[in-house]
Amino acid sequence: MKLGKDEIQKIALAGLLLIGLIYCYFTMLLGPLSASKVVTTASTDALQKKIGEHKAKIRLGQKMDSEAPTAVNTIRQVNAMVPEGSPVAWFPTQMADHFKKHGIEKVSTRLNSEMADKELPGFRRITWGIDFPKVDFVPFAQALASLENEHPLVEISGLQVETGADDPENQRVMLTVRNLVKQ
Amino acid sequence: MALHLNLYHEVQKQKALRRRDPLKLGGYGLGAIALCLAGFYFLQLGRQSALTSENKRVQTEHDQLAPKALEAQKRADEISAMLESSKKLVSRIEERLLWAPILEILTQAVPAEIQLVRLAGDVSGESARRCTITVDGIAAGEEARQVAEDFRRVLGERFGEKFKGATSTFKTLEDSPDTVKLGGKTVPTASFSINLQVQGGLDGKSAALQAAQPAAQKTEA
Repeated sequence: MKLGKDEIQKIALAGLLLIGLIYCYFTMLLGPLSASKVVTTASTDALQKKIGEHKAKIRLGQKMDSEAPTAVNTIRQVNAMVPEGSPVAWFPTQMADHFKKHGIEKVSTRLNSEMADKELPGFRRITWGIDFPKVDFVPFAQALASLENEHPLVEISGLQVETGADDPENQRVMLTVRNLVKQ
Repeated sequence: MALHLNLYHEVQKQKALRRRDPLKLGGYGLGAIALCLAGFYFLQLGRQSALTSENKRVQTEHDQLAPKALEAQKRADEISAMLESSKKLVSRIEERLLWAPILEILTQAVPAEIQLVRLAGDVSGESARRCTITVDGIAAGEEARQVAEDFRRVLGERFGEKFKGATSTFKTLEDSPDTVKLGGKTVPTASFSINLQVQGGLDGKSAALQAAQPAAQKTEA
């Protein structure tokens, strides 16, 4: 079949129309739709990731909540060991009472230094000097053991025992004690 | 056989030509392609719509979870700080260097030939407590220096049994011009100064833990 000039023109016109249609279809319809699809998928993925993170945080919070009572209990116990008020008011008395209970009457306690505890926020460390001018060593050692047992926040950082030349039966003891107290 | 003349052949030819019109055929083809493309477009539109509604659902879930997560994070931080403080407090209590065992060993290790005149000890270090103890005394006996040496050795052994890294060394050991009566005999003396070093180790820890427990029980009561 031979195509005439008129028909060739029509075919060319149809081809042009087809090209235009395909161009418009991809540029104006499918293109924006695909772009929107990419954006929506990316947004959904990002949100899913965030949801995963949120769920992990919530799980961590629940796990921490289950561990909290132990920490709270420890801190409550420690807080209960520290009397209210200024340590200068209660610590020397506490020490005097403790050693008195063990038969050591003469005790003098003085404050040496005071500083905030860097590792434990909310606590400060006080260093005290405790002087026993005349003690018998063995009862004193027993009183010291009892002090270490009954007062976990007290740490003896220095100890000095001297025997006098004129009185070898009794000793003079000087203690350096570090005590942890609330701010 | 009858002769058949087709007088409409021109009309039929024109009809056939119209039927095979390329523009018409092209139009049909274009229409079909357009239909396919439209179908594909609506299919994609449907998928996009599903994606959008999924995105909205996820967004809603995210919006619901975000404040809860923030609150949980805040709470976790608080509890974490509390746990950290609690651990530090417990380790501070457990890692104390206790003097009672040190004094006990000293009391048990001193023989009759030795008299202690001075005892001084200092604790240094934060995590691993190291204690330096200086023991000054007088040793009496025919071999006063040997008595002092035996005492130093015994101290080293006894402290070594209970503490990590225990060392015992003489700072000074000198013959003394003084004599003492020991068991009815007058014997020479030697003055000495022993330097003891111990470290708060596992034994020290367990002892401190034991020390902390009764106090904790008392507090609970």
